Amino acid sequence: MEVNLTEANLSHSERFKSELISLLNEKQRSIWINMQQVTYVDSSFLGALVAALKHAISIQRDVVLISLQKDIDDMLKLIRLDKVFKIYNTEQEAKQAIV
Amino acid sequence: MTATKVFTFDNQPENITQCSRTILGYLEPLLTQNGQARALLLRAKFIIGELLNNAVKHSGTNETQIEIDLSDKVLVIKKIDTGAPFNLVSKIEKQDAQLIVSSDVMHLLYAIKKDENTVSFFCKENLTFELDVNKLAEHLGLLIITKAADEFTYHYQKPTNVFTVRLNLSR
Repeated sequence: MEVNLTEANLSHSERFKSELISLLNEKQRSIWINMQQVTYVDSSFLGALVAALKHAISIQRDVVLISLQKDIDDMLKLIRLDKVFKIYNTEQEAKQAIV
Repeated sequence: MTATKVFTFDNQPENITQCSRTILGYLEPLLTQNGQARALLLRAKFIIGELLNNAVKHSGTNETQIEIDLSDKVLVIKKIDTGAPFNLVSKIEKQDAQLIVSSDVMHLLYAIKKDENTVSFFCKENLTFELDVNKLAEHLGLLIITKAADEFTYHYQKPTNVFTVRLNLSR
């Protein structure tokens, strides 16, 4: 899936979390999230990603982040979420590593 | 050089982006003029975003003031409101006593009492954690501010709450 937001913040996070969890339940597959367009994420959006990851792991799936802009990467590193999510520069790179 | 400006936020989630952009639009030329790196502006951006989130979630008021104060050595960002107090100040009884505000597998966030009305936040990282995703926190706002700031305090003097963030300017 692709996040079609530039600022991923509190006003979108609850809906985003519900969509991710519904998608995981429906497809029973890991989700690759392309964040290419996102220039800012806040704590509530990151919280939604963490909640989705917990759900994914509980059904033996994963949440993978792709094409993070530098500011987002810096934010993830600040609170060490880069150690939690699988992060790839491109879908191609993800495919080579995972598939 | 010194500059102070106060911005009013209406505590509506749909206006977080606009308010944050307005504040950063004010700050960016000042910091650039002052020879500050992009990294400092990014930290300020993270902090302002989280202070505005905090206002939406916890202030319980119709508006919040964000005060920006830039001097030669430090950028101070304050969030001021008259909503319900954060109970940390009353919860920690003695000066220099500390309390765990939140914890997960990677971080412990503490508040330490500085004086009768003020606590300061600090964070310890667990460097030897074994990753258990279920033990990750989903509420990350205070942690982000604490880690992005050089100093982060909360002060309550009835009826006013003040969160103060200090970012040291590089020389």
